[in-house]
Amino acid sequence: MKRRNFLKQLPLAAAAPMLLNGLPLRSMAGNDPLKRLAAASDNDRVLVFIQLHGGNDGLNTLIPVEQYTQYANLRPNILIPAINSSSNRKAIAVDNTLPLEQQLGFHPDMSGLKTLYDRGELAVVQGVGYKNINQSHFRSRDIWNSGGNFDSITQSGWAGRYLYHEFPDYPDAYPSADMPDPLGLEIGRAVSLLHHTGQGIPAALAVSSPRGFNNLVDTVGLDNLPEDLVGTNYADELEWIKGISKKGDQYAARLAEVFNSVGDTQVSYPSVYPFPAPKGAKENSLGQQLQTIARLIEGGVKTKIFLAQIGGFDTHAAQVESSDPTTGLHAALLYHVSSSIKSFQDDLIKRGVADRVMTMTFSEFGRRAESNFSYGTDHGTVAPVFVVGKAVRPGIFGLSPDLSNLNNKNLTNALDSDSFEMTNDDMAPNYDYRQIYTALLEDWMLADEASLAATQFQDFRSSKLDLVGTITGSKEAFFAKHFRLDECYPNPVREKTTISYYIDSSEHVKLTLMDISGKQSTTLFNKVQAYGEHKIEVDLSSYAAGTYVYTLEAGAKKATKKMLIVR
Amino acid sequence: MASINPYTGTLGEKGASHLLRRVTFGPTLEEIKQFAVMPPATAMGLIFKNEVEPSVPLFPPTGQPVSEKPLEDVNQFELIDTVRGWWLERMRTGGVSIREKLVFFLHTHFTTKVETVASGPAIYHQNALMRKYTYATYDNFKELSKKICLDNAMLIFLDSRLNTDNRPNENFGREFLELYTIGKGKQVGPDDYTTFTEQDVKAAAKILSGYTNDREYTEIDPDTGIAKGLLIGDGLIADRHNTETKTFSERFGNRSIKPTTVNGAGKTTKEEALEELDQMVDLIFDQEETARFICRKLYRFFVYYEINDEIERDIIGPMAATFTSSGYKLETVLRQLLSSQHFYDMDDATTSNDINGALIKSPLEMTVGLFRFFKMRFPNIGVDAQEVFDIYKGRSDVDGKPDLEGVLRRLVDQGIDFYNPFEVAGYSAYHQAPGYNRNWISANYLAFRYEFIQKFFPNRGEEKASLGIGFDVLSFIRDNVPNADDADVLVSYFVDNLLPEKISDERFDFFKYADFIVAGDEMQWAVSWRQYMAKPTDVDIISEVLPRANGLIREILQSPEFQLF
Repeated sequence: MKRRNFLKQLPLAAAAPMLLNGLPLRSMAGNDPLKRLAAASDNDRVLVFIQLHGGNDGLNTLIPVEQYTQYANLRPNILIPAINSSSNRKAIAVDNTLPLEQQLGFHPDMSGLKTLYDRGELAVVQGVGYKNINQSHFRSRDIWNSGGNFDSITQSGWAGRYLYHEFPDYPDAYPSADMPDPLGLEIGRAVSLLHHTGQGIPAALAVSSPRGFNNLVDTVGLDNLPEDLVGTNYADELEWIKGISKKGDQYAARLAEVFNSVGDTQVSYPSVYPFPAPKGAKENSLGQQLQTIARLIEGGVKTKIFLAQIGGFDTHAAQVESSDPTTGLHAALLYHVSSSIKSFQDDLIKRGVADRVMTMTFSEFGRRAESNFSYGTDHGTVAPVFVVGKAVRPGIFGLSPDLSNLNNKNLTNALDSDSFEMTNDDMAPNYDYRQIYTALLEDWMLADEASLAATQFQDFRSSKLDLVGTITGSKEAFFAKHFRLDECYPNPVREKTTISYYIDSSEHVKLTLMDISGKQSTTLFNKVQAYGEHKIEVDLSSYAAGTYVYTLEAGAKKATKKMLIVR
Repeated sequence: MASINPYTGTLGEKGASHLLRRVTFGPTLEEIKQFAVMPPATAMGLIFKNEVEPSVPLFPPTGQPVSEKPLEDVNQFELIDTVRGWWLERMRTGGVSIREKLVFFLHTHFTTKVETVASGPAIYHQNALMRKYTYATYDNFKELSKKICLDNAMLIFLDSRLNTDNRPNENFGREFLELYTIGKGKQVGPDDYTTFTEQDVKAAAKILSGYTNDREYTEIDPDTGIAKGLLIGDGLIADRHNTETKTFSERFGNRSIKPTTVNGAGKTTKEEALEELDQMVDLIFDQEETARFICRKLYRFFVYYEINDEIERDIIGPMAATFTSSGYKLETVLRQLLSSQHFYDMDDATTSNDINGALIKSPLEMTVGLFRFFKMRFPNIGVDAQEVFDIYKGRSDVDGKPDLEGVLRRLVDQGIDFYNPFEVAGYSAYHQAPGYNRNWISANYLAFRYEFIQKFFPNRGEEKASLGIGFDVLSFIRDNVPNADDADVLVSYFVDNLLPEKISDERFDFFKYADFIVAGDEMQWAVSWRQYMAKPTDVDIISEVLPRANGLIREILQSPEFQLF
């Protein structure tokens, strides 16, 4: 009577749910009986997915530049002012170094992602979908989660298949010394836990504190079913509940311990959208989920895949405030996504774990290019994907969707993928979503060929996107293209010298000079400048001789060089 | 092989409890015993008895019916909570009638969310409409499908009120096809879902254009007497209705629907717009797949979630034929299903396909079932409606009244935000393959279930619930369990009547010894219980028997077996 002893020791123990940061958790890994011999994954890299439920409107997320006129004609009642408009709030110019046909503006409430772009930590993949995009929320979501085609029938998720392969004999062999945690964790509000596809045990976290764990399942005698009940549907359901309870009991205490082993975040996560929006959309439901993930990762959780979720993207009506289309429901959602990801990335950096994490957003489909009369957009086809991380190969992948050929089938505007058949009306995809998943698994998680085959992504290995670089190596070219500080001339300096530099977007620019000891600092220049090449001539005749450093800051970018003043 | 043929023997206790668990939110033992001696045909008469329709609940602070446009300063969500509490109370007090379960089925099918609708009257009228169409005189699913297009709550929920002739909003048109009527089949090509295509979504959206909701709730449907929405436009003209020819795909035989007369301004009449809607619903129901889709949903809701080829052929096919030929009567097709050999596992000798106990309870079935089985005492809604509603919605900081946690909140914890599901397809348990009802179980949800149970059957030293629900476990045993001084009798009473299947001897011993008595203490229990029977108010005796009784029942309720029905 193990349970009874337990209760005697802890008379107050209750079957209270375990909440981390006030959020319930559940595990994603399933109990597919597939048993594999591959070695368990031996690196400490993780993937974090952020699912945008309802179908994100890609065209108001990434506002086209070259095709702005077509964009404005298609959606006159919800359009975001162009990057070069005189409006106070307008699309944020992302990168002027790109060819015109690839340029785009971020929605004005996505300054967080713009900062990450400038830091070389963001890749934007335009026009992601699959052949014959299904416009049912439920079917399309199942396709993304299963890793299949429009007509595949599959009862498992791609992450589940990958994890089974990497961790043979799940769930029976786990938790183990090497893998003490759930293989995957899904985090969200209680209500959002209902809608994850794929099967298997969502292992289970069910107690409010370590002392209360171990209280969900009493298996004593449960396996001794009366003979005529063995193998019945009833027995199957019992087994299911038992399996979930067991995993909950096994993992709850460990997760609480991991969570409590490190402190709360030192980074502020914006919680309320500051502009007009429907009441329900103003609150950010994503930030706390990401905070929890960051904290678990720093605490040493070994979980490989996390899923956070935010709903509300099914914007058939009133996606913008009619008085100001840059605000409203969709703007608030983008603000939450952008600001939360920025804070999450900063949080990971502060916690010293950013090198281990890659984050990706996705949505079941995009929305129709043409808006409807009710200030909204109906179900459509492609949508953009954001990939964030220290090791991401930064930049924009693919062109804006072709808005002049909305009913033209069999077209592609991908920059660097083979064309594939496109058959829906409306916008055509540049990429199949599995070209991204395959890149993340193979190049980031270091999945081998057998693992990708088990995940059923082997066919995408040759066309995977070049999304993953190294922590530092992949950035140099990116930065050189976007931001440059030259050697001043002349140097050494007697009286005057000219400092020249290049910035790729309109930024607040600050140029400072400091002596080498760091004691004295002067601001030489401090105001907003347009993008392009700039030169500033400074008179340094009043400075004492010695070695100095000059620093240029433009938005998130920063560079420092040395100069010698001689007398 | 599965058989829809009627089962004609008597139900027995097992059959009776199976039937009543599926058609109500949990029976009492008296109800099970009453049904045990009947054959299904007789039982159907009681289940489908047409009692008087309930009257509109009043909002206690103002005394105003919740069906009417509320006074200025009334918060809509307080009205909504009144409607939700009123409905839960009806589930609790609904006896053996299938009524509330059937209305709940319709809600899981034609889902809306109170958060989006944000109107107490609209939610009430939607419930009243669904309820109306469960009564024999109205029962017609096809007709209800038409009515739902003009339901105020639905017009708000899926933006139909914003769908006009110019740049249509497809939200409702799509879900009407995909979720409410014909359902979506396998995708076989671009924009082609076998049963319908994207072309049909666009055609449906145009036919459904030009409507709006009535914020005054004065537009009354003469067929039902229930408030409804309306077509935009003064007089006879439907100002915002699309008058183009709407051509459906080959999935609907390339049928076209259009108004017969269009005036100089390109408008047609409201009558013709409504006629288009009728024609479209007729067209959809003319497809055999529509009846099958609805029958599959009924099967999953009342019987079991897996539908294999055999079930599709032997059960769904005959059901769909009955449904169609009866004029889409839920009662007719459900009488057939709930009387069938298949429903009672009497169609073959194989046990592996049995359906008894093979569904996971929703939090409603768990919670309301608990209230009902244990005959928990609620205030009389006719005497103190506010107190009843407070039990459901919760209460804090009201002078002179204790704070209440609120059952609705405890249901959210367990995985159901009542009348407010996360997505447009409704609660996952009723549509999300492959697990369906398994979606009710995550470790969190299960823990919250167990926590809720523990509020009524606490551990030693724990407080009882502050839910405002009257319950005394000892008097329940005293009044309902003869010979409860025999420990085995007492364990059997709860195991037999609370769990859907019999258990092994080992499992019985676990329940008996887990937190009730320790082995060899049977005599001690007998003495204590007799003392209690002699002196039921003696504090010392109560402190001896109460924790044991709580321990026994708690262990049985906090088991995987009890989560099944």
